[in-house]
Amino acid sequence: MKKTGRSLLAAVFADPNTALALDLPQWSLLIAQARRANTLARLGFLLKAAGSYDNVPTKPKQHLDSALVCADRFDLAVHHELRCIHAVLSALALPLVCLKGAAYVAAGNRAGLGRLFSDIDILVPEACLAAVEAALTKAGWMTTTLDPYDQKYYRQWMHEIPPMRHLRRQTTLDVHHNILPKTTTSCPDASLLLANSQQVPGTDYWVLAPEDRVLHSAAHLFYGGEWDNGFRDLSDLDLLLREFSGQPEFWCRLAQRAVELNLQIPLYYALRYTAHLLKTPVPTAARHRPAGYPPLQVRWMDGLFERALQPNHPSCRSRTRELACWVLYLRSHGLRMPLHLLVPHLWRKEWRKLRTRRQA
Amino acid sequence: MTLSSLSPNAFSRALRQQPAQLAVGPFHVRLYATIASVQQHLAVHYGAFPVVGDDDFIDFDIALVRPLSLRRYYRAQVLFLFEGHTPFKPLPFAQAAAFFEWGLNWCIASHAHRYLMVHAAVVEWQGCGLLLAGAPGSGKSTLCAALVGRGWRLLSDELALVSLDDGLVTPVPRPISLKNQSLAVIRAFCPDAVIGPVVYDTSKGTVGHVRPPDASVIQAQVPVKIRHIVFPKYQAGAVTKLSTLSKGYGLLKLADNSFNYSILGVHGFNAAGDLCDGADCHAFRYSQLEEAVALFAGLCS
Amino acid sequence: MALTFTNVLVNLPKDGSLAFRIWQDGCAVYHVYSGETHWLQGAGAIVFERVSQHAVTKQALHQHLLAGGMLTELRELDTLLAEYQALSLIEISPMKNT
Repeated sequence: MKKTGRSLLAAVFADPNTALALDLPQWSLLIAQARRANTLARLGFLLKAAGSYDNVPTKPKQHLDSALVCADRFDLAVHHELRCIHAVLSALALPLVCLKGAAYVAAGNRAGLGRLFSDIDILVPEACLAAVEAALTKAGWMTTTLDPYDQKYYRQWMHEIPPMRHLRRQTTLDVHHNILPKTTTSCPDASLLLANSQQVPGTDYWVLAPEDRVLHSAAHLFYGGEWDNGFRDLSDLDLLLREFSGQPEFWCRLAQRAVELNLQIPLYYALRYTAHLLKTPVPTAARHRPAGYPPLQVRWMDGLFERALQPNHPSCRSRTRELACWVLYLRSHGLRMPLHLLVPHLWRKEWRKLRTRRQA
Repeated sequence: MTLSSLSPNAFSRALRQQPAQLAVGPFHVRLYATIASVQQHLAVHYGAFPVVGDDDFIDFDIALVRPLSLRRYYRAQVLFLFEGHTPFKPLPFAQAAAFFEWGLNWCIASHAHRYLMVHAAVVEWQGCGLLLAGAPGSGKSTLCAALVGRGWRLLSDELALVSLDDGLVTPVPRPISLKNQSLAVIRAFCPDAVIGPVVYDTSKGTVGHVRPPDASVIQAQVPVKIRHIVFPKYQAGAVTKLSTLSKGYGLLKLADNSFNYSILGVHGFNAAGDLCDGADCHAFRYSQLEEAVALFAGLCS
Repeated sequence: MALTFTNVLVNLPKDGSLAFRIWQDGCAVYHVYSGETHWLQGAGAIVFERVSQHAVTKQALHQHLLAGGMLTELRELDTLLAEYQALSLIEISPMKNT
C-alpha cells in the first residue's frame, strides 16, 4: 500500500462525491482512517453537505450515523457548558470569547461540524485573569494541578492558566490570555485579538474575527507539538478558509493581519498544505513564501509536515512518521521557549514520564 | 460458509496466513489470530459463525500479537491492536483469547451508537425477550448460561444492543463469559455445555467461555422485543424472589448500566423509556438455578 | 421571595429542552442541554404532570395538590418550584394581579 502522498480520507475530504465510487473494502479503509483521525462525524457532515449521504452503502453509513448521533449530543453539551461559563463571566461584565473548537461551534462555522474536543478554550484579558479564575472557582471549576512546578510553568511562561475542571460536570476549561506562550519570540499582541473579536449575532458568545480564527488555528497547528489530530486540524483550516473565502477582501485582510500578528510563517504553511492535501481553493497570490524565509527550510519542513498531517492509521503511516512527529514536537518547544528554559523543562517532563512508568 | 467448514489443520494454517473475517451479530470482524490459543478459541466457539468475504465491509479490524520487545520472551505478553492502535495495556500471554473477547466488547461499546448499549444478557423463549441487566458479580451471566443451557435462545451475554430505530434487541450471540465458581455451577447444571480452555489469574479471576449454541448463531439476524427487564442478584442461600420495580426505577437502572446512555442524549432516554414502556421491570434474588429457570419459563409462557 | 406574594404562571420550558415519560408512580424527565435524567415522585410528579398538560398558576397547582392530599403548605410548593426552576425543568413567569 502507498504510504505517502494523499490518503483516501484526504481525497474524500477534498471532494466528498468521490466517496460514491468506492467499493466496500475501500469504505472500510475510509471509515477506519476517519475514525483514527477523529473526523468520522465530520466525514458524515461533509457527505451530507455534498448531497451524497443517502447514497452511502448501509454498512459504512451505520458508522457515520453512529458518529453523527455522538456529534449532536456533543454540540448540545458544548452549548450548555458555554451558557454556564457565560453566567460566570457576565457577572464580571466580561464577554465570553471562545477559541478553537468552541468558537467554531459557537459561531456555527462549518469547522464546528463534527468537531469533537475535550476542553473548552476561552480568551480573557490578562489583567482580568485573577478575577476570572476566582469567579470560576466559586462556581465549581477547580484547577487540575496543584503541582508547584506545573503551576509555575503555566503562570510564568504559558498563554493560559492551568486547566480547570468542573466538579460536577467534569468538563475541562482552558482560560487563555493569549494564543501563543508568552515565551514565544513572535508572540502576538493579545489586545489586538480582543479588539477585533466579534459577537455571534443572536447569542451571548464572542469569537475572534474570521482572519484571526484562521491565524489562531494555523499557529496552533504549525507551531504546536501534538500531531495526533494533525489531519483534523488541517481540515479545520480548510473548512474555515472555504467558508470565509466568500467574504469581500478576505484574502487581503488575512495576509495583512498575519503581518500585524507576526504569524506569516504558520499562515504560509496552513495555505500550502490545505491547498496541497485538501485542495482548498487558495488564490495563487496568497501562497507566496514570506520574504526572507529560506526555500531550503520549506523543503525540510515539507518532509516533516507531510508525514505528520496524515491520518494516524496504519495505511497512511509511513515508518518515519513517529520520527517526524518527534522532531516537530522538539521544534514546537524550541519555538515556544528559549533554550535556557526549554532544556530543563523537557528534562523534567521526561524524568517524570520515566518515574510514572516505573511506578505503573 | 462458516468457520467450521474448514478442517482444523487447514483452519490454523489459514489463520497463520490471513485474518479470519467473521460476522459476529451485525458486525463484520477481521481478526489477525496468529496466536495458537486465539485460534483454538475461534475453533471452539466460533465454528458456526458466517465467514465474511474479502469484497465486503469490515467494521472492526483487530489483531492479537506478541509485543516487539523483550516481553515477547520474558514473562510473555499479548497486545490487542484495533486499527493498528493499542487501546489497552498488554496482558499476560495466557489471556490472549479472553483479551480478544474483552477487546471486541470495547470495540462495539465505543462505536456502535446506533444502539442503546446496555451491560446486559439477553435471551429469548418463544418470542419473549428477557433482558438481564446488572453489574459484574450480579450473576447475570450464570443465569444467562443456565437459561441457554435449557434451550433459550442467546442474543447477548454482555452487550444488549437496543436499536434506536425500532426498540428491538439485535442479537450479537458470542461465547458466554463465566467467572470463578460459576464455571463449576454451570458444568453441573448443564453437563452438555461446551466450555473452552479456562484462564486463571485474570483481573476478573478465573475465566472460561461457554460456546454459544449453533441455533442462536444461525438466528443472529432475528431481533427480539423485550418483555421483561430483570435486575438479578445472586445471594447464597436466598429464596427465589421476583418483585416488581417501577418503570422509572427501571429506566434509571438501565441508564446506570448502559455504556452510551449519556452519549446518545435524548435518543438514549427515548430508547430506555420505550424499553420500560413495553416491558415489565423486576428485581430478582436467587440462589437456586433450577427454580430461577422454572420461574422465567413461567413468566414467558 | 416575590414568588410568595404574587401569583405566578408555571410552564414547561418553551425551547423544547425536555423529554419526559409520565408513568403511574412518577415522571422521568430528561433535560436535553444538561443531559441529566430526573425521576420525580410524589408531589413533584403531580406538579410536573399538571404543568406538562398546560401552563398553570401557582394557586391552581396548590389547590390541585391539596385536593390530592399532598403538600398542605404553600411554602413547600415554593421550595419545590424553585428547585425545578433551578434544574430548568419549569419556567416561572410573573402574572398581573387579578
